[in-house]
Amino acid sequence: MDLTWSAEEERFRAEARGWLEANLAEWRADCGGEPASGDTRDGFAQHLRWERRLFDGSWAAVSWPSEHGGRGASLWEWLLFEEEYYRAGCPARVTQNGIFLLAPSIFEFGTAQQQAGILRRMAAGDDLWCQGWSEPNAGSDLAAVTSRARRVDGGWVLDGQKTWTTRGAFCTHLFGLFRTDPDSDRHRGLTYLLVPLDTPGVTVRGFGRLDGDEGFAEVFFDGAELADDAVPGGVVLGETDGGWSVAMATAGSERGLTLRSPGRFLATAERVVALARERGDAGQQRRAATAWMHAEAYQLHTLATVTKLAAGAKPGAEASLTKLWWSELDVELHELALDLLGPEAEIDGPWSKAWQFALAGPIYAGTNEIQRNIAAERLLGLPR
Amino acid sequence: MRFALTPDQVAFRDAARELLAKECAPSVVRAAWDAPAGQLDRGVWDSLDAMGVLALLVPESDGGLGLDETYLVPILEECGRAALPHPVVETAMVAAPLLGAGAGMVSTDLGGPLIPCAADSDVLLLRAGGGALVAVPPASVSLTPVAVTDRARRTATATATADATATATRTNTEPATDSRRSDDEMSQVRSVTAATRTNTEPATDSRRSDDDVSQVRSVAGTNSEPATDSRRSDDEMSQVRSVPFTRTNTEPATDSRRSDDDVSQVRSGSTATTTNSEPATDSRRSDDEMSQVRSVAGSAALVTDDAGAIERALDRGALGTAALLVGLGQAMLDLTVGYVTERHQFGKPVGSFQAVKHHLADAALALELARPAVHRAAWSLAHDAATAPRDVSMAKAMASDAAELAGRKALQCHGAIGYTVEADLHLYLKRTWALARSWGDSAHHTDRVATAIGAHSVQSC
Repeated sequence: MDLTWSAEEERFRAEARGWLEANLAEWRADCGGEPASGDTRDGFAQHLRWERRLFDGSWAAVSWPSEHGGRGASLWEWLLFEEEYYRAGCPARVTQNGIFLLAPSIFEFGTAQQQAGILRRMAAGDDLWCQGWSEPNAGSDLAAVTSRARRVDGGWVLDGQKTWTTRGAFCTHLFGLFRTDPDSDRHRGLTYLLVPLDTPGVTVRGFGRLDGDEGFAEVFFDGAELADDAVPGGVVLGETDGGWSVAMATAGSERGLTLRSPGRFLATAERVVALARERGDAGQQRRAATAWMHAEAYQLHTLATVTKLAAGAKPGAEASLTKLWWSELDVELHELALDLLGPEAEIDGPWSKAWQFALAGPIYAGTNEIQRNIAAERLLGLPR
Repeated sequence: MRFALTPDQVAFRDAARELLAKECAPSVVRAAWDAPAGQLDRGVWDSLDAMGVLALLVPESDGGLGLDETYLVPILEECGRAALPHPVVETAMVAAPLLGAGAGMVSTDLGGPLIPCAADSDVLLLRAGGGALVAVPPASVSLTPVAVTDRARRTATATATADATATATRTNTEPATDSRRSDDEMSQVRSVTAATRTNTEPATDSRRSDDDVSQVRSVAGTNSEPATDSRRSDDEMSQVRSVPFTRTNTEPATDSRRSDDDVSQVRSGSTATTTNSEPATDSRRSDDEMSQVRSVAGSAALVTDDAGAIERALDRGALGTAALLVGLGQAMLDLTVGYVTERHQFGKPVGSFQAVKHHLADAALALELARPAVHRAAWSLAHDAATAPRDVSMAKAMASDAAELAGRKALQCHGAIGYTVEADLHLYLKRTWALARSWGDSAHHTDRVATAIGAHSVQSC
């Protein structure tokens, strides 16, 4: 057991901190005032300029190999980067669904051509990826997807509808599950497809989330003709009819540490503690300490997880517990912040915005009810 | 960065787990409920002692294993899992670093006003006036058994500790130069030496400087101080060197006629007095003599009145208890998983219902996140990290909450069967309730964390 960072890791942290602080200040100055939400059209454009800055500094995807635009950082360094990122107050990553959800699957299942053609453009923000999983009748029950892809000469014809697609209205590409074997049901006969949203026959309609931003979209496929070479290296990720296992790998990433590193919660916890110190009563200050401990515990749990991953272990069903923890922690932190703000909590500011976003946590990436089922069945071994 | 137990730590823990599974079945815990005071079965205790668990934190030169909290804490988790009915935290985590190896079974009143296993122990570690810690034989105080929910705790309260304090103080302030020194005195001194050290010379020089003190601390192989006894053995020196705490009492304690006023001053903690004014001078002293401590009636030995050492002892107690709680929570979760898998209602195992699954997922989650906090605190104590007190409090708060949650969920999922004394669940449940509130409850430790992280405004401090 060694809970210290090496000198090399500390150097990495210092470099990240220096770069982030300087560039964040420049970006904010460029925005000419408080940047808008990344889930609005104006804000998304501003955030893309931030993403470009990250890419130019090789900070967009630190753990990727440099040939794909990363800097080959270890998982440990990635954690440090995330800590510094949120500590500095850097903005939410509008590219995250590509970088953190699709990319791990491309690395695991993609061909060399797909990796070469997709990843670097993703990191640069040239291609913007959204996730096409949920459908009006397939939410928690993902295996119930009915959107279909029919094989034709040189490509696929897509029909159906995806919905609740985060930032779909601003993105250029979608990755998702389509039923390619018409006689199949449940998790068999699904294929993981990569779809440019400018494919003829695809219609994207943005709509407001709870917080009013156009952060959601529904995507309609009406006989959309998807050519095999519409994406470099081909539009099928993994095997035809074998998309479920690819999707599950992504789901593991989404629930686990790549989507929500401890850094963002540690940073929020520090801010809540400061708020409690300034304006909390004794009970609220105790709640702040509890929330801080919960964030710190997530950090410690992650350090233990990364120790295992670094030793060659594969992420498993523990990711379900992790997802429960961080999503409920985020609600806890923001609920306390609202209580501390009192009547001012209704002001449409960063805390109320973040509170509304925190409420999505127990729903997205597999509802917490689903995660509790998974934890009980796969970790505790309870009967299905 | 590497946050995992080492293979050695895992091997130690697993050996303890195996031993406890064999020798501390629920029937052993139940037997502790009914054994008369002073007749607690020591089978598993002696096995843990033989394994080295009880003196794990004691330096090798003093008969211990010379290991640190990162080894002991995972073992304590196992002790919690087995609901071990012995004061293992009090002995291995709290007393051993203060008293050294061979003190026997130690009970304390430091975790609260009640003393678990008081009548069954060899030594009581009590808080005297002014907060000083004294060691007394159980026979020297008046113990009153207390009926508690977990009878395996075998709880009592002690009175007459003030007299014990006075005895200890008088004993320790006398210049111990008398060659006719009795065995009784020797054994007292032995226990005091182990705890208070630094005064390794007759403390007659009031000009003693900090340099001298640090010299004492750093003695390595050669004694740079005037030894009062030419027969002083290497064994003794290593004893002196190996004492973990580094108190620096520079006040000469030379007045054998010390008045009662002085004594009451000591009791109230208003002066930095005392300690053993001389190293033990008998080279033939053996561990056997330690056993004499147990039989010394009516006497007490000052262990330490150093605020830092006491604070550290309390932190060790809190962390050890946190480890027990994580183990207890895990035991209750495991019991319940087994039960809901076997128990059928509506033609299915009750564990197949989501309501039950979700209860147990919540328990698993809380324990999963409390455990790293406990292990981190062990590392912080072992490495003397500046954040150690904060980390211990975080561990105790989270472990208390997690174990209590696991207990509630376990009881609910057991249904009426869990609400009986025939089922084993209550053995763990009642221990959990007691320990969650011992050595500082969740609120106490949360407030300690709040202070450490600056959540308290100046006004509310």
